[in-house]
Amino acid sequence: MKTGAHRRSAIPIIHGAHIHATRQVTDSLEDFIFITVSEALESWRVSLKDIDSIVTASSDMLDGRAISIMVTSGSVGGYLKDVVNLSSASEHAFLYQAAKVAAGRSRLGLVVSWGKRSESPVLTIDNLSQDPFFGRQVKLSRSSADAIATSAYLAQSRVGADDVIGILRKNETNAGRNPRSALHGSASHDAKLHIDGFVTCEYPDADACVAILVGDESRVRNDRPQVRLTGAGAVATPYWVDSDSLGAWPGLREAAKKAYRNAAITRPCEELDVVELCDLTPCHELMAYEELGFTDTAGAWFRSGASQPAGRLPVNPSGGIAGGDADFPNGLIRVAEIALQLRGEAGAVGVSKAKRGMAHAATGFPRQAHSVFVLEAGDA
Amino acid sequence: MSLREVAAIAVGQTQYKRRYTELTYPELIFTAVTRALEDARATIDDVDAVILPMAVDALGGVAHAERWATDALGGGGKPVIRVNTGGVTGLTAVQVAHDFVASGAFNVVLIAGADRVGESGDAQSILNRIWDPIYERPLPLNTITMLAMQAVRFMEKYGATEVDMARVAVKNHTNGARNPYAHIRQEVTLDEVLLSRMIAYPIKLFDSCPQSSGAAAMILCAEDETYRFSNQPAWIRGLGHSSETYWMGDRMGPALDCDHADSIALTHACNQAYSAAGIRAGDLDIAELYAPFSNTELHAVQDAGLCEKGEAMKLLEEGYFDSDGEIPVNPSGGVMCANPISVTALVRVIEAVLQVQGRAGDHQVTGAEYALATGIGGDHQFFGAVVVSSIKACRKDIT
Repeated sequence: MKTGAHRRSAIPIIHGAHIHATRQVTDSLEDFIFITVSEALESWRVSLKDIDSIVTASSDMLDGRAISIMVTSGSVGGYLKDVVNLSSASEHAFLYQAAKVAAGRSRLGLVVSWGKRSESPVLTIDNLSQDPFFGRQVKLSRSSADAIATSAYLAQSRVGADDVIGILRKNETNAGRNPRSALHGSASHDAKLHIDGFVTCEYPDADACVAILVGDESRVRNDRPQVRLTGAGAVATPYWVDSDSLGAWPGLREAAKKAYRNAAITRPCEELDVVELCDLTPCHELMAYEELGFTDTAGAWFRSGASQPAGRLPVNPSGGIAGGDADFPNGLIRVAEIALQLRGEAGAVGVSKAKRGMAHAATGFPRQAHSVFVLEAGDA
Repeated sequence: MSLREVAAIAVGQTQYKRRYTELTYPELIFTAVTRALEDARATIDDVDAVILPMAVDALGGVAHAERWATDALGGGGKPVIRVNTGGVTGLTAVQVAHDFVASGAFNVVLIAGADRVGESGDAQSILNRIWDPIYERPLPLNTITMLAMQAVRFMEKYGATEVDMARVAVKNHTNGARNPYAHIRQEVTLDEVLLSRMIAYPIKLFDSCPQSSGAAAMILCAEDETYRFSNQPAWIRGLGHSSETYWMGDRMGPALDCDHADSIALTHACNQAYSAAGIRAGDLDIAELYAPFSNTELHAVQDAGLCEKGEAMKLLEEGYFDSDGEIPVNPSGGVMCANPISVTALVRVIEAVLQVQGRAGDHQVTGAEYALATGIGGDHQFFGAVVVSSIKACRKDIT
């Protein structure tokens, strides 16, 4: 992360990450968040008294109530604390807490995001997020937006249907092995993939809550590698989709460039050990390989096995969004999965000796904004 | 305090009024952003990141309208981050922007947003949706009734009367009449306030904020960069943010922790800001306190430490908080004269900035050097405070 101009700033360190995801939660939203945060604090051996900042990220639309942070602030331990809620993207909460630490305004903060997609009318929300004059009349949805983008990409790339199906199978297999995934232990393929000159994919819904502990060096424990944020880039792209950029993700390319520059990465494919990215459809994962600078030919790179769990650069060892689409918290979950990888806490899907990882998050309609984070593990 | 000093170097506002049928939400924002950039003698390329305060989606009628507004914000190629903490959103956005600049992540950050409260159809029906859907929504709960309960409790605890509330209304309307941006620019008499229509006892029409539409913007900048934009930076000297329980019932009854009449979280937030600024409440020259109803200003002046508990009413009557008083409170007219919810707390900071820059025009308080701005969000739950000053902090070097 870019540091202060002329004084040494604190480097944000991830001291813990916790994910709770399942196909459908029967607890109320407030209880679900409370249970997750309680589990997280207990696993980290941290008390609420130690927390000086809470940054949450939530979508009122997904939560079904206006200013949902009102009722959920208690669940995250927000009583008489500094609670800031962001509603643009879950990963923005991580970006902001990291900035608070770097600025010296927080020593240990909790970052939390959630979404109960199983109860949310996502298609209605998509429609309501369109401008009321043109977009809403056209009834653009995320599926149709994804179809438009992927059709443009497929027309100009050498990616085939087998590549798209292969990505989905890779991620579903990974998700089945990931103890944190909503599809953990599942052998069924519930995703509805459609390929016909374009790609749409409806993943299984998930309800998820994710918590990350971000602070300065004062909380470092000697038995765990320090996971530092060394690079970050966040970019929004214009709301009105330009036909020239349909088959590409210029926002992702720009966000990655910023993050790589901060982290002094020039050859991402060689210098990264593990990647978690937002596979909005399996085709989007292929697009991301190119925009993130791993390869110029996504199909060939995938077919070489490079992004498989045992490959040169494992991508989405967690299963990605294919492991359950929780919608709003998807981006922060990617950050948490990388943190767990680098801390050696990823369990059955852990990538051996991973020292440097990258998390990508995409949000907005249609996939308008991107964030890229580079995390590095120091010595325990 | 933080790593490097941060200053507000430009502001932009639209007039606040009942409706803006000629401008869309992004166009409203664009208007304020353009004015802020002109104020800074800057272009959008000078901005590194954008923070958008936006509270209740339904008031504007578009879900996640921060996406729709990206182009109007000049957000292409930059992070666009939306803050949503209810009524304090605009001030929380200042905190977020400040921290990003202080950390070194960005040098110049734009804060810009808008709202169109009165154009939503029935704002209070929408605001009823902040409550629990099973138990609370069926009650006649909205932001007016929730603060009417605060008023009743305050009156019981401190002996305040409807006349005291009316005095706040008279003061603020007098001030608002001198503010060219205010929605309500009409003086009222004590009798007019007391005889106005009862909304929710004891809050009457003229004790209440309007439902406003409008936009506001502010640009924050790192200390090394201010020379490029302004010769009158307003330094962000202190920040504070704290929150109480959501459950109002826990602020009532014999087992209460925080009393619904008061706000310990506002006191915490103000003390954090004063401490960071190295000042006491008595060092302030003006205060822009978030007070959408007259009763809320009575508790706010006490909880911000501008007077002792129980003294607000007497001092108000003596003119202590008038524009020419000992500590002018809401010389702009405050929230009672304009309430475009998503940016209302940002406007408090903007007014504080204008005061210490000497640019508040007809409602300028002479010689203002230290100003406090506060914000309130949720059900009297989230509180924020900012101290701005024309005087830069004197800092010891740290390694």
